[in-house]
Amino acid sequence: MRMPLRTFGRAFLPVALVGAAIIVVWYILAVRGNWAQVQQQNPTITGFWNTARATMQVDQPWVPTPHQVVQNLYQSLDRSPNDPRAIWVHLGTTGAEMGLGLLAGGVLGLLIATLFVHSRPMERAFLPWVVASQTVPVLALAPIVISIFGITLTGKVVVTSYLVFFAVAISAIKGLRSADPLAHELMRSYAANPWQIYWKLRFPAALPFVFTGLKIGATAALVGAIVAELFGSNYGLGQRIVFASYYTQTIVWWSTMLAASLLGLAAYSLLAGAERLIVRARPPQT
Amino acid sequence: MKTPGVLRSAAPPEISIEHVSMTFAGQGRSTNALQDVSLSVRAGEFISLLGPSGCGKSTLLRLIGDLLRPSAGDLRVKGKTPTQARRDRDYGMVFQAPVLYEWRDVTRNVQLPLEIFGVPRGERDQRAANLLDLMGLREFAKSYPWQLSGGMQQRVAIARALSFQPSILLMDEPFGALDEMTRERLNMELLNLWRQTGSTIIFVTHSIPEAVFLSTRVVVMTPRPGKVERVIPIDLPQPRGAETREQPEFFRYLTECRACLREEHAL
Repeated sequence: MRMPLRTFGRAFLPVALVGAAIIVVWYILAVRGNWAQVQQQNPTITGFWNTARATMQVDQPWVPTPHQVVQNLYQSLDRSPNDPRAIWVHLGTTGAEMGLGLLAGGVLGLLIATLFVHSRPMERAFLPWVVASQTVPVLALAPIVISIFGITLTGKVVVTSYLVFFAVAISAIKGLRSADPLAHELMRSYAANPWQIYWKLRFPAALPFVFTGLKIGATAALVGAIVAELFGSNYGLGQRIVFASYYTQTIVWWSTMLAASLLGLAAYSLLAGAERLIVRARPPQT
Repeated sequence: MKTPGVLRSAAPPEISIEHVSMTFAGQGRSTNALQDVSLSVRAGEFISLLGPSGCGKSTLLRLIGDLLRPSAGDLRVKGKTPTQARRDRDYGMVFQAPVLYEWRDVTRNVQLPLEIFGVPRGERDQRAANLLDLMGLREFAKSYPWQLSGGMQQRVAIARALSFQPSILLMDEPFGALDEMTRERLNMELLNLWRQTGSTIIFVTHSIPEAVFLSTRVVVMTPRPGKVERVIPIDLPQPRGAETREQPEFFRYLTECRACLREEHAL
């Protein structure tokens, strides 16, 4: 598809400007953060510019600079999977935990929402419990789940799907009820059965809502997966953070952060793309 | 079986409404939407329910269509209860809003009832194509509802209602949201469809010219409580066309309906 230069500029320029601003602030913070460390380790370095340059080349800096972080991430791409600094294997592990959590949590959330919109008593009895389930902080829940399931994929997926199901259930409940009452009367005039009403009216009307729930759930699942990995894992971005903090490899730590945010972005874009494919032909959003 | 000796008209009424009342229970007080309404409709008639808002004309339509149950009185459609008639798919419904499913294109919107009735794919496609031709929508077969004007959308809604060839069309101010020009054109199209299909039409409107132009009988209704003020047979020659609106009798009927509505309001 051809993209006119102006459209491209309009879409890309604001993002690029904000990105540039973040990088500038980041460098300022790095220089400021490592200043004392440089002066302590190398008293021979004097003058503002010399010191500033040195703050960007520290091995284990308090605040790594953007280029150090990006360089570390780039070098991590082709390290062997047994090297804790490798990135693909960790991205893959955390990504799988997220993906399976999205799938299991999505299905569970949709099932619960379907149950609730068809039975008010069910909703009244169980919705408060669903809400209460999310008041437990994932930081408290994760070690309990890991201690039950051990250092397994299942344990991580339990944590991620636990976070996803809520986001999907809450938006799907609204979505399954979002169809025009007249559209329901139309179904009634056709003497449609509940199964037909669900698949031909409620479900398609709920789809955009379900995708919103999945997108919110994806970011929650990422955090959930990493937190769960902190409490016991062989691979995963959380495991890489544990390694980095143990050996005070701050650059590795920060590059893990960058990798995590890229993974989150990728998951979000993937869902947005799927939404565009599946929920086609809607009026342009205002 | 007809009982010998009892005098009956040759054909039983398509829709018979006897002493029907409808009360909506509200918080503390109830609203009397319809009071003691009786009406008999023969097969193939075009009946307009005409009146100001709050006169219960939509309520009466919804009672016939089994979207509501009457508080009192008896309602029969082809000798059956409205519920049975609905289950037998006797009703095609058209509302003021087109109520198209936005995730379906025009063709699939028209096919919606056919899918529900389990009509096979090939026949569904055939019937939808025929209807879209009939309604002048062929080039929009693959368009989505939001890409169509209001008049087009309402045409699709009518095609959808006709798709399963119901014997009774229930129309609740179907052209109420359209501009005057579009409305008059769709009125003509509706008359043509009515002639071709021979279906019975119950048509709710608050437009006097629309009611007079379309109907074989106009049921004038008045509010608080909703009741039938008068039933006016419209003896304008069929088939009707643009010239019908120029005839002196047409204006005489307009005046008659207007007077009938005004009488009630003077009270």
